[in-house]
Amino acid sequence: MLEIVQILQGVLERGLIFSVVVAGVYLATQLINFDNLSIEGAFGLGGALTALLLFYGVNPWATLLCAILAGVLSGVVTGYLHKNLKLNPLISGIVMTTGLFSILLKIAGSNMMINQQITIFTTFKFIPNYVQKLLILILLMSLLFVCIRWFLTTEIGFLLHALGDNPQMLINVGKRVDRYTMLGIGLSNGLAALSGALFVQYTGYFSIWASVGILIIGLAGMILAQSISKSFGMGLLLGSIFYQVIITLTFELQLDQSWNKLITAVLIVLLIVLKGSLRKS
Amino acid sequence: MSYKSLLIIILAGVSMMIAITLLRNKTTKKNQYTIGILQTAAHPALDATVKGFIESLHEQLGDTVEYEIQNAQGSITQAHALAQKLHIQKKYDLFFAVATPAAQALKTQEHERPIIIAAVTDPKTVGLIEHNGNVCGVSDMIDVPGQIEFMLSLVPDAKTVGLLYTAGEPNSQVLVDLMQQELKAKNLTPVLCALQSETDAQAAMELACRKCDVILAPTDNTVASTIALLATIADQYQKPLIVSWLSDDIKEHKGVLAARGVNYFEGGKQAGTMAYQLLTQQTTAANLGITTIDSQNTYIKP
Amino acid sequence: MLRLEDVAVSFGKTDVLKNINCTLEAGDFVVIVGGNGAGKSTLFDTIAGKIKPQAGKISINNQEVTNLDEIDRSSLVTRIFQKVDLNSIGSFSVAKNLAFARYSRKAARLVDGMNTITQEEVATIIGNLGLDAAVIDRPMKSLSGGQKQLIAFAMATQQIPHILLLDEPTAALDPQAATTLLKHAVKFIKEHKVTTILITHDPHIALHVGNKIWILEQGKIVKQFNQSEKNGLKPEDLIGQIDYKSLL
Repeated sequence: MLEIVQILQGVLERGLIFSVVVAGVYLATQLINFDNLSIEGAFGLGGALTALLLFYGVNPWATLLCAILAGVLSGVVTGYLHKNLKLNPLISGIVMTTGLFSILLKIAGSNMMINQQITIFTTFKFIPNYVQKLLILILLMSLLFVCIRWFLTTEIGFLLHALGDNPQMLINVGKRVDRYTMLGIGLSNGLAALSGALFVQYTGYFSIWASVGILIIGLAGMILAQSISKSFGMGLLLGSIFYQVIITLTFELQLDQSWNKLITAVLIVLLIVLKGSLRKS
Repeated sequence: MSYKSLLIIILAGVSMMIAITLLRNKTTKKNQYTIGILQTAAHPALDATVKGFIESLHEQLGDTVEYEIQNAQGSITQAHALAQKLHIQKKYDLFFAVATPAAQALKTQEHERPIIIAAVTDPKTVGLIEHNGNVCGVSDMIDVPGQIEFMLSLVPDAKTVGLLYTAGEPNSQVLVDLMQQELKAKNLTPVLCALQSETDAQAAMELACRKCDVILAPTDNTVASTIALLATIADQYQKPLIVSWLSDDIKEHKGVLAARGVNYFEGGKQAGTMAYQLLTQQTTAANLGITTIDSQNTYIKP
Repeated sequence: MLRLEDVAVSFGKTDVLKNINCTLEAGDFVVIVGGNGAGKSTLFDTIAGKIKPQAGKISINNQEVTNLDEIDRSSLVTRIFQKVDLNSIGSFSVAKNLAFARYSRKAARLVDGMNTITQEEVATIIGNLGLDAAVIDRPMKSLSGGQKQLIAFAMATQQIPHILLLDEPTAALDPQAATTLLKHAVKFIKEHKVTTILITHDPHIALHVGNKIWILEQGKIVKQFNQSEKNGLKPEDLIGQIDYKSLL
């Protein structure tokens, strides 16, 4: 019985970590209407930077901050590629992720173990480790989501929203479309980088391959969240957790492992349809 | 209202999970050992390793061992999640991790029960080995000087040697660095042909074939997965291709001139023997340490 | 006051606007009539700054603006697009859109609801447009074309424009909605003496609003009529009509 609780805890923890990516995907896709393919690169960037900084003894919480800043920078550059150099939006994202791959190799090599004794999850000495992970994640995510929610009601938040809906309106009020696009993608990537940093501190090592598939996790989580509401909120968090439940379920079913991906797909469809019919009743 | 229904759905999913887990928890008989195997991905070398492991243990312990194989399907995230699950369940006596992602995922979570690793070239570099740790196993490090000698014995006039590997794969990087050193020492010119993933294997191989006299491939997951394609290209360009591992499928590829290195099946068997020792004898993983697999096996195309 | 001197615009090898020379004095209301492909939208794009002319000079209020881009010119040129959805933010409510319209470079700090406008002001504006108060909180995209354009006009005129460009504003509207919009626009323009250019391919509009008519044909302004010259003109003098008889 305890084992089941622990498995669920793992699902919850992963759901929380990836909900940050889901939020990042939301900011790009839903808010500013930009399909951000540089998310994976940013995730890796956050992870690599965190691993490197931890190696040099930087405070684990500070590494999160650095990761976010690096992520924002990568987003700004992606936006620049698109708006100023006129690259197609998808190409801009791909170019960034591809370029970042090499940069990451230089930063942290392809693989790096971190000292698990000093991470954000060991901040409080008096709380046992297995509880602390979940606790800190919940606190962090709550704070983050409240902040983002507030941000979206500020002037910049509105402008970003307007940007995604009708860029012409920004021109009409004299706001530079390219700058706001860079900001929007920057925020999106900043979140992805934060998620990557959290993932490294959570798992205990950095691997350059960890970011493969992150875009799908972000998109799937967001789409599942959309079935509740189109606006930003707890739905994104639940969507991410939901997706982790589906994946874990797939593995629990322990059928021939090769079928796992198909089962995941079928489960997603099943659950969305179920959700749809529940809503109608 | 809509949050509620999503919560209901999540609870439904979670209940399904719980039900299935409970149903699958069979009670273990006395004298039975349960081993959790975490395989990083499905491909011939890793499959062979697992097969060897199970066979060897079966020979020594018969039906008293139960195995549960999990496959991370190449995803780091999945490897971690599966390792977490394995770690949580008390029923496992020891773990067998095949390839670096699986090994790291288990190592960072399980600190008590022994973890046997295989298909990792340099366990120390990837942080798996510590003083008095719980990790032991077999490394597929090859004898690089011997490898180069072997290559020269087949292609004595070679001047430029193409090294085909995956950029970002720590195990390959280690080998490639050693190979480069050795080649330079012998006054040969190494040409690095790095590929990112299976999709650019063709481009990298064609480049290598155009620029080099012979192509040498270290033990690399992506290279192993695409060996059929690489062999075809080598055959097309009539360039010698030498790989650093042996598996059954190698012989089927016309383009592969020779192979010298580890036999993953044998490696798995060696790991299996370690498992036997850990289960039945009073020894620890720290004692067993890391041994290398015999890498002198050769195969030359007739 | 707007002046175009020897303005020429081409896309690749095609010359879209050739040798445009025209002047709009303050308070003028010009209707430009032209068929499809005459270059009407390109002319607006050039005046607004979306396109940089290959040759020529554009001045607004005696200040040369040829090298200013659209964003920098937006404080001088206000434009209502033919494509209705470009004139507002579809997912925002009508109230939010009106608030957004009051937002300018010098805007005060905005909070939720963008406090640039009060609820009473919104209600008054909607009332003046003759629209049902129920639309105030509905998302812009749920309104009809006519309603959207009316509100778009209100949005564009929250601050009195220096130069107002109306790009076929009634093209997608039924006669009733078109009438409402034009009535409202003409009243506003007269009251505030807004310098306006209206593009249409409907000659009737040209004959009934504004004080000048320019005919645009194949990228050139071929004829200009001022107020006195307008009297006595018939629709066919300006542009061809649908030949209904040939359909029977």
